[in-house]
Amino acid sequence: MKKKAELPYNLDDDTSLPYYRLVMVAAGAFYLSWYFVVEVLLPGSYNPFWGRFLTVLSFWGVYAASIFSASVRKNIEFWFSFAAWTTTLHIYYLFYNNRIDITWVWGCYMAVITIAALMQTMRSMIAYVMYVIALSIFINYVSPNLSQVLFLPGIFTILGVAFIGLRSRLKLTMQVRENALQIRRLLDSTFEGLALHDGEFLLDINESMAKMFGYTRQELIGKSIYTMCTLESGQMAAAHIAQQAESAYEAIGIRKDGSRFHIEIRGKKHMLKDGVLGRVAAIQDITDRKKNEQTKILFEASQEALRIRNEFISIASHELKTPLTSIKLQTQMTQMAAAKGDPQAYAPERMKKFVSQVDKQGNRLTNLIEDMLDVSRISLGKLSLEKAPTSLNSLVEETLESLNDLIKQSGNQIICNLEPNIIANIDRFRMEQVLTNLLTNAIKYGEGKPVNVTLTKYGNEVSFSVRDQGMGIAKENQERIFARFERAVAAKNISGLGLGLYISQQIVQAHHGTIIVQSAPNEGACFIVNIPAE
Amino acid sequence: MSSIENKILLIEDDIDIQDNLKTFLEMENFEVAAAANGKQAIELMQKEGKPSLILLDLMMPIMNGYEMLAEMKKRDLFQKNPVPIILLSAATDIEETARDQVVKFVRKPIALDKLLTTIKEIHAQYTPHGTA
Repeated sequence: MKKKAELPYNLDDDTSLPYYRLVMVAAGAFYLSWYFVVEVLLPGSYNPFWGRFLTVLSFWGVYAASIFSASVRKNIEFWFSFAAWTTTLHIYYLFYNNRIDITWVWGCYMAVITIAALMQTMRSMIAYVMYVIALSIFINYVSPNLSQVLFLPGIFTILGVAFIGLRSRLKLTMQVRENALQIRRLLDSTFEGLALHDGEFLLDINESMAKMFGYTRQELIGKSIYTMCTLESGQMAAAHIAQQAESAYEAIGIRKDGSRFHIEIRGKKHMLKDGVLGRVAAIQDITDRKKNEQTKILFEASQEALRIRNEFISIASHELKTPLTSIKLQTQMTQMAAAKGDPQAYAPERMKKFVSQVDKQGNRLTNLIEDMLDVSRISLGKLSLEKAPTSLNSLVEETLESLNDLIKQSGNQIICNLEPNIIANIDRFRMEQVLTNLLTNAIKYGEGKPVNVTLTKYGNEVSFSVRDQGMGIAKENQERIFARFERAVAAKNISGLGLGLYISQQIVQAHHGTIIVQSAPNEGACFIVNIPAE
Repeated sequence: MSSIENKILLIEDDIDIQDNLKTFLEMENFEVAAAANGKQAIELMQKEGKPSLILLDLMMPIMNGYEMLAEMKKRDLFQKNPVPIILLSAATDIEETARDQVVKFVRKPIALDKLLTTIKEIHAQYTPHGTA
């Protein structure tokens, strides 16, 4: 709700309104009371009540009109003059009808000088003066014995005095007005918005502030500052105000049209009149600054993305060259033998070994490329899962089956401890990837010792774990190993991009699950995966 | 295991490449010893003497190619009469720090004929007896 404002300086055109209203009410009351004064002090005078009352109504009527009509308020000076002229006319009328009694001459003088003193502008003064002169000349003409009382010279003198008095008063007012205007213009010229408030309601603002928020000055004055910013910003502002903090802070302002924009606020305490403590704040529109920050952040993000991509390409190309090198060595050796004329160059035994090697390297390449594609999919957010209720028991069995050759070669013993009938809503292909990764890691780093696989369910979660008894993982590496390209210890027989655990973690997290490692150097490692059953 | 003195020391972490290269070089009548990373290689050299030639892979675990070269300098291993080094790598260029010790840079995939020629040239140049 708008609050009545008390401003340190006020230059609006309708400031004179309260003055005129006061004067009109008082003048009306005063003039009415003179009816009774005359009745008591000058009994027998011509003093009709209703004429006087109607005259008083001219003041009060204009006052009332000024409440309801904006046009009257805007032209209050004119309407005041109208009431003043009406009263002057009434006085001259009474004056005339009281046979130009000397007392009434003085009464006339008093009335004229009082009314003249109430004039606020030069033009209304001049108009009144001319009006009174005209009235006086007329009444002088109509009552010739007035010239004996030197009525006209008296009136002229009074009007002259009033005129001079008003002129100096006006000059002073103009000066003050001009100074105030200059200050106002200065305040309005700042780039920042300035606001003066009492802790909640705006008392005064400058033009920049109004423009910034899309209001007129009038609309903003009296408004609560908390309606002009978001809830969080308001809380911040309240805290700053309470602590009388002078530090700048960012906030979000709300314009008249409801749009939001970034601002920076800096305030300090300010003494209002009557010893009341208020606050003055400077407000800056930092939309541009924010945009630049945003651009900078985006730029740096894209630079980082480029760096990651380049790093990835360099690591990938290196890793892909390794199996290719093996293949090329094999083919070159075979060709060179043939070129030398070695009859055994393409011997079946040799070819058998060659083909199996090339096949092996081909698989390595395939796995590498699939991993790279997975990483790419993950970074694009395209790791989509096709979930279906799956028996984890059969998944474990099939994965072990597919790794059979590897298991036989490395000689690891796989010990399974699977609770029966564990079913979960998972993407079979992807979870097999995770299981394969964990198992091959266990075999790779297990130093030939037995590997334990467990599968269990508790509550709404399914959990499986793969434990090896190999070299273990030092504490400082336990987080790193899940990052891209990281390996705590490099591969020996199966090289890779160091992406296995990274991809596994991404897959598990995409299932809203968790994967953790428990390990210590030389005490093996246990990888535990928990996923919701649904 | 006999000493690596006057043998070609092959330092390569990938077991398949290691096997293939070793087989190839032995077929060409060179004597080859192998290490899987820089640390193993340095231990071998400190224990068993100076190889006639080093075939060095760059990307290896525990101690990679560059680290090994730096370590050799640090331990003053054969610095007065350095071992000729052929760098094998999938990378595209050699870091500055290694340039003074490296004789030749062979890119992967390895062209065996070029490798052979290079080894023979180096042996002729650097060793008292080249092996045919």
